[in-house]
Amino acid sequence: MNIDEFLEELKTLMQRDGTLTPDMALRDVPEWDSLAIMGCMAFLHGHFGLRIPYSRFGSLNTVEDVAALAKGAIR
Amino acid sequence: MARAAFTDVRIAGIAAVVPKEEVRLAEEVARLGGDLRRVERLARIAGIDRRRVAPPGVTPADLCRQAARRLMGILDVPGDAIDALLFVGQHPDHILPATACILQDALGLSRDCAALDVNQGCSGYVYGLWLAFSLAACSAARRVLLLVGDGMTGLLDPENRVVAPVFGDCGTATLVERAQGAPAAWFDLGTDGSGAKDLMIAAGGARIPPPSTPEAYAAHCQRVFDPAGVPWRPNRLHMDAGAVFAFTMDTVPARIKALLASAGMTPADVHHLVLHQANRQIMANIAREAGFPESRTPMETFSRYGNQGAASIPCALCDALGEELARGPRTLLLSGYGVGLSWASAILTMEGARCAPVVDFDPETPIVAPEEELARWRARIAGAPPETRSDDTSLRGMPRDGMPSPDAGTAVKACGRAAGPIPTDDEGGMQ
Repeated sequence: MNIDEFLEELKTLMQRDGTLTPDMALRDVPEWDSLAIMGCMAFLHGHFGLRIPYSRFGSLNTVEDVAALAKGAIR
Repeated sequence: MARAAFTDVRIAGIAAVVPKEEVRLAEEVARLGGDLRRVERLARIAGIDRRRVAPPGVTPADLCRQAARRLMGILDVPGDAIDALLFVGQHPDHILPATACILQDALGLSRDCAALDVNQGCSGYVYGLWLAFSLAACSAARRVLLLVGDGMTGLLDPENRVVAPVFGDCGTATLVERAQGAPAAWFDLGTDGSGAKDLMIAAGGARIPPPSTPEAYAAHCQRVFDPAGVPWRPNRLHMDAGAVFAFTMDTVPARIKALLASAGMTPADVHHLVLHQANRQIMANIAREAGFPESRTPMETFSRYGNQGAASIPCALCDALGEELARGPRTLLLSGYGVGLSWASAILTMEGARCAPVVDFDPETPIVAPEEELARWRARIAGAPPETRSDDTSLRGMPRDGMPSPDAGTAVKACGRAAGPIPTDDEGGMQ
């Protein structure tokens, strides 16, 4: 999966209409809340078999950090 | 390991009662931040739409009482046919006694009926079934009335946008009875108390008791804001949504698969997966990971009534599957998960059970608001109309403030020394 495809997935699971770029700070994305994190956890598990603990998401700063959770599966 | 299989026990019927007061998410926008897009998003992702909220003075016990009366009427079961009453929930009428004791009297059940409360939340219905099936299977109680009700809306801060738009109130009644030839039922239960703080009302119990001065009470009630700006109160529900979700996804699908394996079944052998109606996102993810299509996993009850805590599974059975279950035998997998942290799943085949349509609560007598209830209780303590029966001699010699009179005090001490039966007043010479 490339980064643009992942950003589209992320926008859908967040239900965000606005743009989303890799360098955006997560604190500037109002839709990045517990519902979005739950959706993201389910997506990473469903697509890549990755179990990312919820606590990891609290230390992320940018959208790119979220993609990096997939450990190279998103380029 | 809490894994069990029972035979010769059946669910005879289920009834559910909800408050008639409906709150729609769209109407709560202002209180929850005033962002309409946010509301639409909640509706799309989590399936949140509307919920039922009991007015002050209507308790889970009230809803359960009406559900029980309805069920006993439908099944034509008299009060003296109930051997045990279990009340499961998180919002009892009082600190003590057990709500089940009050309901025994309110329902006109026999004095030979055992009655107890079980403090469990979203896994509570399956826990209650497990207890009821156990009692009936060994004939410790041949007919068990399982009353499962929750009133989470009274236990949360209405301005907390994480929990306020999610929860609804409901009371249910399920009759479990011994029935020769009833098909097998399998149960799998578990606990992880290391996550107790993920869903907790911290203040008000023995650890942080209710203070006895209004000034000290402030710290229990006043809001504390978390780093995201969400207000919480120590004496109201606190939830770490992400941690609960992580626990759910790490535990529940695997336990469902393990239960299927122990019953020698696959998802294809089960007509419906009936999950605790937590929210759409959680239910959809569990169903997918456990191998069930969404078409066989009812989720509409959440959108219609909200997350009803312990009562959500029986309400979903009545709401989404009542007609389906009347058509013939159906094998169901029920699974509840949440506060504790705790989980419980069951596979059972329902045959000939009556799952009545969900009905609105009908107050048979004027609702007594909590303030009025408090005033009545204060008046009672102060000596207003005695409620003890005229033939009740147990308070003889006791003045109304509850302290023994000097004479009675002597009698109590004398009784303490007596080795034989406690003497009665008629026997005189107790000293």
